[in-house]
Order: sequence, then C-alpha cells, then structure tokens
Amino acid sequence: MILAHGRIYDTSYQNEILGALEADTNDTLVNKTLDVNKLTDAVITVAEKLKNGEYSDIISAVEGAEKYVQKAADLLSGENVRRAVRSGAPEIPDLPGIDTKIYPVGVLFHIAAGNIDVLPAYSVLEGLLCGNINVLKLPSQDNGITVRILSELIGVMPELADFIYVFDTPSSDLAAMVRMAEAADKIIVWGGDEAVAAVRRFAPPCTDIVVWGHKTGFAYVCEDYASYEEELYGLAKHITATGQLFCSSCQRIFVNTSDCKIAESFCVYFLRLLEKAKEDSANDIGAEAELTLRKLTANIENAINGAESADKTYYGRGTSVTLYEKPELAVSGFYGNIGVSALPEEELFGLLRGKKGYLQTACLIGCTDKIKELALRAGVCRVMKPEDMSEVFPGEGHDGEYELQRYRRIVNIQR
Amino acid sequence: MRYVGRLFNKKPYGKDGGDFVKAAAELTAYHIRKNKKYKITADQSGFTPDMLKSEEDLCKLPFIPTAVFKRNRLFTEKHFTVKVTTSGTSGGAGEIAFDIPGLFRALKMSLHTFAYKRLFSPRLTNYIVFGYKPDRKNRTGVSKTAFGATLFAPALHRTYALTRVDGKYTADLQKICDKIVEYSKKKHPVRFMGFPSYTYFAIKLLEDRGVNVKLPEGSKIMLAGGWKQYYKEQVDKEEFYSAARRVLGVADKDIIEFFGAVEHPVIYCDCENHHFHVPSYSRVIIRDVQTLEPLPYGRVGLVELITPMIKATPITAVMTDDLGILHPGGECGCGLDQPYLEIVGRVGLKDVKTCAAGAAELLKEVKL
Repeated sequence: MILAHGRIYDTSYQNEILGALEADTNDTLVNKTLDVNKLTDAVITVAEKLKNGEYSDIISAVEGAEKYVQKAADLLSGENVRRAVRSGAPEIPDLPGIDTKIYPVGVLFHIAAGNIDVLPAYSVLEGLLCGNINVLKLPSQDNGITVRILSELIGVMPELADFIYVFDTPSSDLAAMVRMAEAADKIIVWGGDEAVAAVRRFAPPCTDIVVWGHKTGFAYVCEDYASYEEELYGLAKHITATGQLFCSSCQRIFVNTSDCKIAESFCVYFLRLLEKAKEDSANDIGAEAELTLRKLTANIENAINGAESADKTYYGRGTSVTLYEKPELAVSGFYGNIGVSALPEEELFGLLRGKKGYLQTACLIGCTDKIKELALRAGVCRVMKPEDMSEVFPGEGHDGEYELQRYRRIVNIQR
Repeated sequence: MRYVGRLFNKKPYGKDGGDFVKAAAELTAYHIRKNKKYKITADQSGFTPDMLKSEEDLCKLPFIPTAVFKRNRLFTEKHFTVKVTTSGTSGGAGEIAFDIPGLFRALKMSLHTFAYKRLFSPRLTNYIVFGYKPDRKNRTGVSKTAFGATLFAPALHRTYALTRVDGKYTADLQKICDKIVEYSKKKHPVRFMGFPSYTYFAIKLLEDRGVNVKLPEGSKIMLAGGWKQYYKEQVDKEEFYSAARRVLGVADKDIIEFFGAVEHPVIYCDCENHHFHVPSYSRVIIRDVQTLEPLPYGRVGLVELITPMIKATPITAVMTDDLGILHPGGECGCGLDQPYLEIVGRVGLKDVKTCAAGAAELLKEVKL
C-alpha cells in the first residue's frame, strides 16, 4: 500500500510514483509552503477526536494501546505541540548586515522501526511540524495504522497531501530505497545497529543521516541498598511493567561495590521485590516459556560441555536475577529477568564510556551528586526516578537533543 | 530391552499393563550407562532409573530441550545408525541418530497406527506432496515422512510442491493447482501429503481462480509438519476443512492430521473429532512455563514428550518448543480414553517489539 498525494495506491504503482518523486517534491518545494499553525490546529483536532474515542477501531488494532490514549492525546494537545515546535526552534542571533531565517530541511526520508506501532506516523508528524516533505518507508511489521493516522491528518488538512509519501517497500528492495534516499535532503533512521549500518551503506555521501538508535537503560545502586526498599520496589515495578522492552528500560543493575558477596546478597534481596512486582503485571506466556527453555538449555549445555559459568541465576516465579561476574551494560532478557553486577564507583565512568552510543536513561538509587555528574558526563541523557525510567513528558529531549532542531535549516542572507 | 520391544508390539490405543514405565526405566538405564553426557543430565536432575515405578513418576525423567540436540551431538550409539536431520525451525538443524532396532520399532508403530487409521489401500493413487522432493542433500525427517506416506497406497504419480532450484527450495503452487485439476478428472484417488500451510494456500489459490473440483472417491488429505514460518497465516481447523469441502469436495473424515517430530518419532494421528490422543508409545507432560513443574489437565504449558523408542540418542524425554494443553480423553467424545494433546502455539520472543539496544542478537537466537 502506498500513500501519495493524499491517495492510496496499490504497491504495484511503486516504480511509477518513485519515478516522479523527485519532480513532484521539487514542485512542492517551489510552489507550496506548509502552514505550521494550521498543521498544529489539525493535530489538535485529531488529538481531540482521539480523546473522544473516534479512533477506537485504530486503537483496538494496536495491542495494549488503550492505556496510552489519554497520554497520547495529552502529548498532542495544543500547548504541547506548540512547545515542541518552539523547543526545536533555535534562537536567532542579531547579526549586523545579516538576515537569519529558519527553513525546513526540504525532503526527509524516514526509515521507521516497527518496535512501536505509532512511531512511523509520529516521525512524519515531526517532519511536518518543521514544514518538510516526508517520505516514509514503513517497517515490515506495520499493521496499517500508519497510513490510517496520516490519512486522517490529510482529511483534516488536505494541503498536507503533497507533503506525505508512504511506501510499504520491503527493506530488501534496495533500488527503491536508494531512489527515496536520492530524493531526500536527510535520512531519519529509527532502529538498531543493523538498520543504521544498512542505511549508511546505501545513503548518498552528501545526504545527512539522523540516527535515532536503540539504547540501553541501567540502574546504579549504592552499597547500602537495603535502606532504599521503596525506590528498589519502584525499580522492580518499572522492570515488570515495561517488560524491559523500551530504550529507557532498565537492563542492568550495578551495585556500587567491589565485593561480589554484597552484589550476591543484593540479587536475593531484589528477587523478592521483583517477584512481588511481577504479581501485578501481565504475562507473555510464549516469551516466558522461551526464556525458561533458554535457561534450561544453557544449564544442560554448560553441564555436559564442562563449561560451568561463574554467573549465577536466582530464579523467582516468572522472574530471575542473574549475577554476572563481569559487569557489562547489555540487554538482560526481558519480562522481569534482570542482570546484576558489582561495579565500584571508580569503574563506572569507564564502563559507560565503552557504551557511549547506547546511553540514554539511568536511575541512581542512593547515589551522590558526584556519581550523577559522572553518568551525565559519560553520555547519559535522562536521569529518572526508578519507577519512572520509561515515562515520557512533554518538552523532553530525545537522546540529548530536540528532534525538531535536526529537521530545520538556518539560512543566512547578507543584506 | 524386553519391555521396550513389547511396547511397540502393542496397538496404538490399548492398555499397556505398565510396560511403558518399565520400558522407560530400561532405556534410561541404558543411556545412563552408555552415554556420559546423558548421565550428567540425569545426575543434574537427581534421577535414577529405579525412581520410575508408576506413570506418575515419568515426570522425574530428565528432560532435554530440543535445542540441545540441535547444537550438540548426544549420541549413545555411534555405529550402525541412521542419522536424520531435524527441521531446523527453532534455531538451526540438528541430527538424531536412530539405531536399527529402534527404526524397526518405529516401523512397527507406524504400521499399527496407519492400519488403525485405515490408510493402507491397494488402489493406485496420485500423490500431491506439499513438501520437499527428496534428494541426497535433504535428510530432513519431514521429507522422509512425506515420502513414506506415499507408500500407503501404490503411487501412480508423485508431484512435489517444493523443489530445489539453484540450491534453494521453491514452491510452485500454480503447477500444483494444475495437477490437482488434472488428477480430479481421473478415476484414481488423490492423496495430499505435507505441510498444512502449502496445502491451504493451494486450496485458496484454486478458489481464487474460481475452480471447484470433486476429487475421486477414496481421496484423502494428510497433513503433517505444522505451519512453520507461516504461523501468522495459520487458519483454524474449521476454516481449513470448510475450504477443503468447498474447493476439493473432500469430507472432514478424509482429512487426517499427523503430529510428530524427529526428536519424538511417535506418530500422533487425529481422531474423528480431530484431536491428537496420546498413543500407547508416547506420554505427554505439560510443564509450567516458569517453574517447569508438571501441570494438571486443561492448563497451558510447555509440551514434554516421552517415548522409550530409540537407543542411539537419548530422546526418551524431550522438551519441545510447543505450548500445549492436555485434555482428558473423555472430553473428546470419540470413544478413546487416552488424553489428547492440543498444541496452542510455540514459545518465542518473535513478536516482541523493542528498542532496547542489543535485543536484535537476543531475538535472532530464537528466530522461529
């Protein structure tokens, strides 16, 4: 399915539409300007409809989306959309003899990941808010919601039709992706290392690439952890509630100690909190079974191959805490399975710098301001309370910057 | 192997007089004695064969996940064996060695089972195989099973849906549909054998073309191998049977589904109500997905399959990647007392959507 000029086309029209893409976008760049205020009003209209339940058929198509409806409607409220537009706008210095203006980048080519259902539409919306033409390649897992959302927006504001192109091109169709990239001023890629590396391979050298990559969250806990039961229970609730699936989800807990015995005691202590938190969260039986099978397989393989690992796993009901001898910032295993390591304060910075491209959210429990400063200097962008590690809030930065700043150009004209 | 031999002489759905438990004890004692790696797993789970005294004790057998067989060679016997490749649908293909007496036991079991299902026929038959065309490079169990099924009735022709072209298997459903139409006009019965996914796709393709045929009397659709990579397209049984009735004129009673695996080479055939009752040669334990404790009837969990058939590989108790429910036999209504197994899905993180860095590697390991 393709969305172009406000109309839905069958995938078989791809070559035809791509063939005209450069000429069509050039024509739009020359002759049309997106009225961002009008777009903001359109977004507000859609948000109001969302709040009033008009898109219940779309919402019900997305697993678990109901609970985020209010949050999404709030984030798309007039105040928040205007704040987002403002936050991305750079301050214009008063330069003698020079006029400074803000222009859209031009054409943005979005390569969206399928890990969050509304992400592709959101990425296009951000591009629109800066006045850009947006070409979107859908992720293979897209369930049709993206075209529905964007068609709704076009329905409210028909002049958006020439600013939105959506293709369901598979990633294997490199020729089509190259044509989209060639028509673009910037490529916006959402996804993991493999997706980013693939884009870097085919992108024209002169085309800027904006990477919104995958990240790894962590918690750093003081040696006197038992004094922070409430915070640790909050962390356990965050771990079980998010399933550790988000960029901001906690994947590892580091205990500020060099004594492995203290880290081991922490594992036992935290497992109890994790089990308690798990009681209230929904289960994915297939994923849990997979994780259980994987542990069983590893145990048997280690035993028969004489490769007993120094890592030790403590099992709870539907949860586990694994004590890793070697501290590493890495994914743990999802759904209430968390890794723990001893990591003295003096080794924290080095470990984080080794993962600098993957840092985003941290929670610090019982830690000093010095540790917080170390984490921030290493590259952490969000320090959140344990239970709120994956909370989003209006006006927040994205991986250390405002996205909309990346989707605009600053133009200087000498008088 | 007195009890092992006796067990496979029995009918598929009769009383076994305690022979199953005795056979399991006999065979596990053999594996423990001859296979150091298996002994380690037995020791790890604190198992000794003398613990097997009744059916209830079967849950104490050390169970090995199928993934272990895919990545490790756990053979108890290395000589005079036939090696069969597993399907490779969950993390790579492995090999299971079958000893010659074990193969004879498998053959006896097959003859008993197919005779029970009245699948043997002297009539010349045209076969449509919705599976791989066997060749030297393909040692998968599923291709052997599909070929074996074409021996139930003398084959006039065999047409394969999956053929190897330039080293890759490709499905030519157009050709298959043409053959179905051609065979439907002959007097010989037609038998379909193979993957339900391709069978269904072919039926739908015929329907899309507006073709409705009536296959000759005695025709059957035999399904085996599961939906594999097409699990998302899987349709419920009623939709499948309804399409087969509409497009091919095949009645429900002539659609037979098999269930089995190389790691558990017991053939499960569905009953008249299309349920997989556990045959005499097999036992099923459903285990909790978190604790691995055995679950009672009616609860979803991991499917463990037990059979004391093979001496060359310790596949006596294997933990599959399937999620299933065991129902009491009486709930079916077909007259069989044995409990029946319902497969409800597969384990996996395959549908997980995440933006956690490093997750791609984690998910790749468990690609289903």
